[in-house]
Amino acid sequence: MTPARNYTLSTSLQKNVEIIKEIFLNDDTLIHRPFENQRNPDLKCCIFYIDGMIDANIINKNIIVPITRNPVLKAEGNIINYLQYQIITSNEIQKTNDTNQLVTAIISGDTVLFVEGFPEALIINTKGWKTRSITEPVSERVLRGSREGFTESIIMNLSMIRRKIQTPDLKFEFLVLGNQTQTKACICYIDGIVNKKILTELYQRLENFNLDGALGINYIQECIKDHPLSPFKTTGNTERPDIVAAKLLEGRIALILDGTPVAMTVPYLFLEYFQSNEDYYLNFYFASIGRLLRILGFIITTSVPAIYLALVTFHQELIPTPLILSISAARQDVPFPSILELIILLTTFEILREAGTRIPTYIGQALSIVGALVLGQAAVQARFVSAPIVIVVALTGITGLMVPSLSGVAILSRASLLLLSALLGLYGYTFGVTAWLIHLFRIHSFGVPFTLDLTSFHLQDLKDTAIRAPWWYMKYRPKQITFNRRRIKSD
Amino acid sequence: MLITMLLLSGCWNYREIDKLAIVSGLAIDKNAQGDQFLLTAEIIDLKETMTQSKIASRKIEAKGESIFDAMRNMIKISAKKLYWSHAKAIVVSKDVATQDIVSIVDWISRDHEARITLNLFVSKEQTASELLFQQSVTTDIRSFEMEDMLMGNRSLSKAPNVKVYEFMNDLSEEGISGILPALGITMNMDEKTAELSGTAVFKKEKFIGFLDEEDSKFLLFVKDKIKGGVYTIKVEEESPNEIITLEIFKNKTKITPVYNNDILSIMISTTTEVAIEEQNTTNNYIDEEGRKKLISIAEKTLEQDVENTIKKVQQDFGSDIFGFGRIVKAEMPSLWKTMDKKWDTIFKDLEVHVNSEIKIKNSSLTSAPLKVGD
Repeated sequence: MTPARNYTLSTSLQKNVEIIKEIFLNDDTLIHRPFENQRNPDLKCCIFYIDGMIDANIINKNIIVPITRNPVLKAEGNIINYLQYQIITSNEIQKTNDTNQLVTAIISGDTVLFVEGFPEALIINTKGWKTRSITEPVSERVLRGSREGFTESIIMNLSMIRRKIQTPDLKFEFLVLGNQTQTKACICYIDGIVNKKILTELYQRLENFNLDGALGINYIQECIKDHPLSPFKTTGNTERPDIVAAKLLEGRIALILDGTPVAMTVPYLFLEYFQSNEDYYLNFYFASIGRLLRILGFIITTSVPAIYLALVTFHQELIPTPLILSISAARQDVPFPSILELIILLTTFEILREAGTRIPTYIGQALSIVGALVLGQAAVQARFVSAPIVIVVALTGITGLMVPSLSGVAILSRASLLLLSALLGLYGYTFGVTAWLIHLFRIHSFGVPFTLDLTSFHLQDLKDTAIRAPWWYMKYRPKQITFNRRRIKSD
Repeated sequence: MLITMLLLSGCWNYREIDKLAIVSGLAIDKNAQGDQFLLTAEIIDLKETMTQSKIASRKIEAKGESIFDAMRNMIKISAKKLYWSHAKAIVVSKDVATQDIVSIVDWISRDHEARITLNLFVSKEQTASELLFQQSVTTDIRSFEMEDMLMGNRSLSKAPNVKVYEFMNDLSEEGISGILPALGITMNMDEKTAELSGTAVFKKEKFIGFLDEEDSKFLLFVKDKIKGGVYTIKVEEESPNEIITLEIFKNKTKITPVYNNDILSIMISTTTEVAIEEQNTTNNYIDEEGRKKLISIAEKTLEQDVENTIKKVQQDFGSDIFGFGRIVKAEMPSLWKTMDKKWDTIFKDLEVHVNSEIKIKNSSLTSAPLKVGD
C-alpha cells in the first residue's frame, strides 16, 4: 500500500474515487457505493467502506436513505456542510481532507463519504463487527464475585471499567501502538490518586515501543520492563474488570489493548503474585489462610526437590533415624543416583502437564496429574525409581499449580536450586536462595521496589501482605505507588 | 568461570544413601590377653520384599589394636562403609570400662560422624556383645531399644540418663567423677533379654563398681535429676505391711557446703512433689490429719534412704560421684584450694545432712480410700 500522504484530494469525485482505489489496490474487501439524490441526480456522492467492519443497517438507513430520498436536496451551496449537520443521522461525523485520516477511518470500520465538487470527505461512524459476549475468564475464576471478563473490543472493556468506577476523575487516554497493526490502546488512571511520575514514565516507555505489532499485552510488557532479563514480571496481567478497578483505586495505572482481553497494570509488586481477588470477597480469616497457603506452596515447590536431594545425598545425619531407614529401604536396588531420578521424574511431570494443557477438554489437567502419579507408581513397582522420589515430585508438581502466574519462575528456580544442591549440598542450596533473594530485592517496577511492603516495619504497610486485614482496618494506600494515602475519608 | 568452579568441585562428599551401612549400636570388648579390642557393631539390614520392607539388624565383628582400627577392619566383612551418625548406643564391658574409657570417649568426641549425644552403657555381664544379641521385646533393633529404655527411664528413675557429653564434662572437671547407666540380662517369660538396671560408678577414669537400682534412685535425688518415679514407703509403726506408693512428679535439690570450726559438712535439702498413687489399706491418709502423718513419715524415710546411699558410696567406692567437690569449688574456692589434693580422703568421712520436704499434690482421681463394706 503506497503511503497515503502522497495524495491530495481534488474536487472531482472521479479523481477522489481513483485515489482511494489506488491506495487500496488489491484489497477486494473495499466496497465503493456511488449514489445520487432521487429528485436531483446532479447531487452525486459515493461512499467507501470495508466489508465486514461495518454495520450495513447504519449505512443503509442513516446515510443512503437520507441522501437519496430527501426531496429538497440540491447540488448547490455548501452541500457538504448541509449533509454533515442536517441530513446524515449519525452519532459521529467528521469532515477532513487528510487522506491519512480517511484511510485510517476506512480501515477501522468507518464509512467515508465523497461529494462531487468538494475536496473534502465526511467520516461517518458505522462500526459494527461481531464481538464475543461477556463471559467469565477461564483462568481467573472466583467463587463469590462478579463473573464478567474483558472481551476483545476495547470500547466494551472501557465501559466495564467505567461502570465500576463512576467518578469523573477516572481518565482514559487513547494512543496507538504498533507500526503495522496500529492497535488502539488506552491508558486509564484515577486523577488525584495516581502517581504522576509513574504515569510520565509509562508514556515515555510507550513512545519507544517500536515493534510492528502489538497483538497481545506481552509484546508491550517485554519492551517496557525495567529489567528485561529477569524472569519475574514487573507488570501485571488480568482479565477481570473488578481487579483492574481495584488496582486503579490503589493508584495504579491500567493499559487496555484492543483485540486482547488481557489488561496490563503498572506497577506490579512481588506480593501481587500471591493476591487473588477472591481474598477480598471472602472473610479475612479465610483469606489470610489462603494467602499464607499460596506463599507456602511457592516455597515448597521451589525448595523441596533441592532440600530432599541435599539431605539424602550429602547430609544424611540431619534426617531422623526412622525416616532414613525407610528411604534407604526404598532405594535398594534402584539403578540411578538420586539426582538423576529427580531430574527424570521432574521433567516427566512437566511434559505430562504441558501435554495436559493441550488436551481440549476440562479434564485434561486432572488427567495429566493422575497420569503422572500412575506412571510414578508403575515406575516404582518396576524398580526404576524409588517411592520417596515420587512423593517429592508429586508434592512439587501440585504446589506448583497453586500460583499459576509464577510457574515460569518456579521451574527456573527449582532447576537452579536443584542443580546447586546436587553439586554442593545445603551450601549450594543456600547460595542459590541467596542469589535469588538478591535478585528479587534488587529489581524495580517502574521505580517502585519490587518487594515493597515485604520488609516494612510499619504496621499499616503490612496489612495486605501475607495476611489480609479486614477492610475497616486498611486505611492507607500503598506508600510508593501513590502520594494520596488516605483511603477512608476521615470526618 | 563461576560455572567451571562449581562443576569442578564435582559431587565432593556426595554419598548415595543405599551405599551406606547404617550402624545403630556398638559393643566394645577386650580379648582375653587384653591387647586387642573386639568390636561388635549392629547394622541395619534392609530387605525389601516387593512392596514391604522389613527392618532387621545384623551384627558384624572385628578385631583391632585400637578402636578406630577395629572399626575400619569391619569393612573387611561388610561391603559398605559404616555410617555412624545414627548410632544411638555404645555398650562397653567392665574390663574396657576399667582401662580404656578415655580412648572411647575421645573417639566419640573427635570423629565427625559420631554424635556426642549418644548413650554409653556399661555391661554387667561378662562381655558387652552378648547384650546386643539378646531378643528384643518391642523393636527389632537392639540399640534403638536401649535408647528407648533410657528415655523411658524418666518415669522410672532407676538408672542415670547420662549422655557422652555429660560424662565427658564429669571426667574433665575437678571434684566429680562420672557415672554411666548399666545394662544386665534378665529372664523375661523364659527368654533372656536386656534390662536397664543401676549405675556404673567411676573413680576418675576407672570403673570401680555398680550401684543397684534403689541406690541409683537416691543418687539421682542428690544429683537433682529426678523427673518422675515411684517411691514406696512403709508405714510400720502403726500397722506392719502397710505400704503407700507415692508417684514423684517434681523434685528440686539444693546442696550447700557448710564450713564450721574447720569442719566441712554438706547440707542437702530436697523438695519433692508427689501424689498418692496406691495404698493397700483403707486407712485414710488423705484427709488433713492422715496427710500430715504421711508426710512426716515420708520425709523421714527419704532422708534416711539418701543418707544411707551416700554413706554406702563413701565407704564402698570412695568416689565423689555426687559432685560435692564441684560445689565446694564453686562456692568456696579458697577453701577448695586447700582441699583439692586430699579430696578423696576428705570425701570418705564427709558429714552429710539431708533435709527433705514432701508436698502431696493430690491423690490422683479418688479423694478417699476405698471403702470395704460387708
